Amino acid sequence: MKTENDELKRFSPTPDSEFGIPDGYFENLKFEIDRKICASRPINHKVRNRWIYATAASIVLLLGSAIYTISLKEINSTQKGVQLTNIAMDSNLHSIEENHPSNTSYPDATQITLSPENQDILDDELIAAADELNLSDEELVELTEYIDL
Amino acid sequence: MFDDQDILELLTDKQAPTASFNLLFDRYHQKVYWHARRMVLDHDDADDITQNIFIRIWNGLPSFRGDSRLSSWIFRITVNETLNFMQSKKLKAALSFKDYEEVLSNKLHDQTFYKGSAIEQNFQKALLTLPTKQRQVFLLRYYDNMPYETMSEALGTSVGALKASYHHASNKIEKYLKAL
Repeated sequence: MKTENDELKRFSPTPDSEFGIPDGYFENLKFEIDRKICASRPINHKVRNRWIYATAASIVLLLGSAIYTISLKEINSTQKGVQLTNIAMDSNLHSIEENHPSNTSYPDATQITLSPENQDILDDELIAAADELNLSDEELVELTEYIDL
Repeated sequence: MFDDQDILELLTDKQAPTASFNLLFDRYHQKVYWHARRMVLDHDDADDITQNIFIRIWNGLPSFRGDSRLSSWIFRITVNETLNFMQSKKLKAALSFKDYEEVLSNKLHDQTFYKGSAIEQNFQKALLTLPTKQRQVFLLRYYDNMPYETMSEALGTSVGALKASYHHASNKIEKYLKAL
């Protein structure tokens, strides 16, 4: 018996073959789908957590190291500032004492402990400080002898 | 030749998800592609739809409990994915003041795209005059010889409504072709 479907099919005898598809399309289709599935596959939770912990630890270490370096520089510059102030004060007071002797006792600049690496820096700083104080050459020599440089 | 039962048996073995997916792909990829292709006509669009469908199947396969037939489940995904794709295409076409069906109809004249005879071209044009869901029912019945019961399970529509839909579609196509 001829069905309604058969009746209609006479209009389109080989329907699918009339639609053009690229050669080897169906062979490549599975490969393409597998590739997309792999790309969309969520990352393993354990592996992801390890990455998060490792990254967090690296950030903490980096921050710690940066803070330590900054505070070390801060301490050094403060120490240098104190030392220079003492030197400048001592030289100034020593000069005043010569002109106006008194019984007042002043802090002994020789008590300052200079680290070897800062020796050169302090030499330069001392000359700069002397310039600022308008010390004469004699006063400068006296000062350097006094603080035993 | 493997059937749905073999695929379902492999599915119960949690160690073999890829094997069951591969079997399923071998069994259904052409049906899925050709359904999408007949709906959207364009190969690239059908390719996109087919890939999306199989990715959805892959993601849903572990939770498939066999409440419905495997074929119905796959065709439900196919039908929904195709409809969603067409909706978004229609929306884009409307934004550019074009009629999506007209765009598809014009593509049938492109020899690299469609190699059918004039009669076959007219048949495809007649299909494009059908409302989307009616066209879907017609294609599943006409090309895939899908039983109404399976279609009902896949589309969530009663068998009676599907029969009526197919009947209306047939009449419209016949009228269109006779009017030429």
